[in-house]
Amino acid sequence: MNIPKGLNDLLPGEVLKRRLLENRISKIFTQWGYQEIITPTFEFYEILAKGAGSIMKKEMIKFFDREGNIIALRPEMTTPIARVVSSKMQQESKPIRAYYIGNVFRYDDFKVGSQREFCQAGVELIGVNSKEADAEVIALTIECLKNSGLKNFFIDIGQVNFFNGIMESIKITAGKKREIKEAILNKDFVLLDKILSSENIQNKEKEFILKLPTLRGKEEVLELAEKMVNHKLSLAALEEIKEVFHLLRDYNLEKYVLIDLGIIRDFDYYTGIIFEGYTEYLGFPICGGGRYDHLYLKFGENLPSTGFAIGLERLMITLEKENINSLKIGKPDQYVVYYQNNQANFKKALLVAQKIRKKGGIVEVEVSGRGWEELLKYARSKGIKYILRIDNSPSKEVKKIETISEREEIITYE
Amino acid sequence: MSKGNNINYLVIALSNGKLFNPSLKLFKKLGIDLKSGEEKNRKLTFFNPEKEIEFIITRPKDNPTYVEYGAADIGIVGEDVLLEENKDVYKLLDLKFGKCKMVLAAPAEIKQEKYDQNHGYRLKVATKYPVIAGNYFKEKGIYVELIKLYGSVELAPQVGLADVIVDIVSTGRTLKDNKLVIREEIMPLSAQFIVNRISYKTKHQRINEFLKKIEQIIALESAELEED
Repeated sequence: MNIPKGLNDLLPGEVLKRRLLENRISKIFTQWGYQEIITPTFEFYEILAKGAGSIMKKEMIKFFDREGNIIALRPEMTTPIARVVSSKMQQESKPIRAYYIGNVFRYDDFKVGSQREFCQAGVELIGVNSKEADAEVIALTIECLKNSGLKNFFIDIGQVNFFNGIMESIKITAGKKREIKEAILNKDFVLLDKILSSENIQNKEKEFILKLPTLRGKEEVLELAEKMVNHKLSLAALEEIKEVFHLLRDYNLEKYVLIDLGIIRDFDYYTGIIFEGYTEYLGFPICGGGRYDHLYLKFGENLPSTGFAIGLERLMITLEKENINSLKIGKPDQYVVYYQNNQANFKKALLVAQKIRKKGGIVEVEVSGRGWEELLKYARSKGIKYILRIDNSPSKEVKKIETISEREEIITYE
Repeated sequence: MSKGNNINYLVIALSNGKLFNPSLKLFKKLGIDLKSGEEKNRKLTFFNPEKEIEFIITRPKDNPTYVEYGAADIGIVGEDVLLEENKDVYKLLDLKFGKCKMVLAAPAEIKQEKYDQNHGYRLKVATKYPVIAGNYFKEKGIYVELIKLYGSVELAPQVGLADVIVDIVSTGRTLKDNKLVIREEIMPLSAQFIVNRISYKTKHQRINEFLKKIEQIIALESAELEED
């Protein structure tokens, strides 16, 4: 009775929490004008590969279909949505605001809240390249996290061109630049130090690159950084961060936002503002995103875009660490209707069940032919609050028995 | 005592084994004592409430896992472990103690060409580090069979389980006792200071203060940390 490694079954208690979280988030997406798109769970590998870096390509779960095509389970949702938008929604006015909540699959095992199958909720704002668009998706991320029930969290924002500009301005071979990028992607600042020391790089520049992960804070970071770079890409990136930061101030969300010039995300995929969200309760980011203006070119469209994804499992762990009751909801009362195994009472039992369901109660009809004591035991074990005992009197009255106390009460159904 | 949910605590994961004593000395020089930490008992966590620090003691190989998950903010771990297990953590500082080497060693009678080039024979390599050994031979283009062992790798060539070994050497005595000779030094290794990717944001200031002080200490006296 095993299931493959890295997969999970969600039992009823967990499903309730999960759906609650999905509802809280999708409500916000909808209110902000984003519309849901559902795409297939697996697609042609070559399509999914268009939006995947080399690591993601390795992490995809692939197989052959009957015709011999390579198929892969979707490792993220942005690429499938890009396929849909550029093949089936070209005529729509831009921008397109799309959202998704769906499971994605990767061989990237054994990290907190990321098994081989995990759930992402996210949005794409497609067909517009403006600082207002960048600010909107960041603001929406914050609203979603807030509305999910999370109180203490931060969003760090950066801009990929800040780093790209620094790389442009140092004079070393393309091969060495790749080594430097790789060391930074691996967060290996020991190796980075070694590479930089072996190259003919000015001490000032070396110190600056090594200090990148410490360039983090509010606006003062930008002023500090401005004095340290001179490439136009980097300077433009700083200006853009400043503008987006000011817009987020207009949203009144400044307190959630920090500027992080050392933020590390896939440099080849992202093209502008990038961001990630995290809390003190989890050693991994809970969400991330940014501007990707080149993906749609691979689908024959010129649609600069931005978006983000939240890892729902990670968010759920975080929420419960912050407050164990974050995902508790008041459930409606639960009933069992008991017709006392007398066929003559059955029709009345169904009528009673229907009336109470209409009022919002959760009602089971006893179908196992149990005696009273046994039924009582069953109801208690399931947390069912009341048993409604149906007799064959013609009146509109039934006995309502509380399962714990066995207290009786006569109620009329109408 | 428990830190409970006090998220202000800085959790530092120390590796037991060779790196343990030098790590303790390092923190002592920083003015942080483990209290009962140096006693030989089986407790695995120690608190310093005044400095809001918790130490946990891990197996060397598990150390980066604690840090990657955020169960510890900081880890002191051997470079060999980091190279073998690719973990998503910040590697911030070479602590320059716990120095040793990853080497290729073989019985003296084995001829060099046997492990230096392909010649229709698949070289058998015993090692605790299949990733490091595998990458080393891949880069050299040599076709090998890796045999993963969990300890006493020196035994393998003597009983014909393997032709050569890839292992860590500090003094070289064990190799000598087992009639093995170092044939190539693959890489130097030392203790590393690693940090969880979120802790580096949320506890930035404290971690950087640490880093600065540690950098000063190891620049002056990293050798001294290893003296018993």
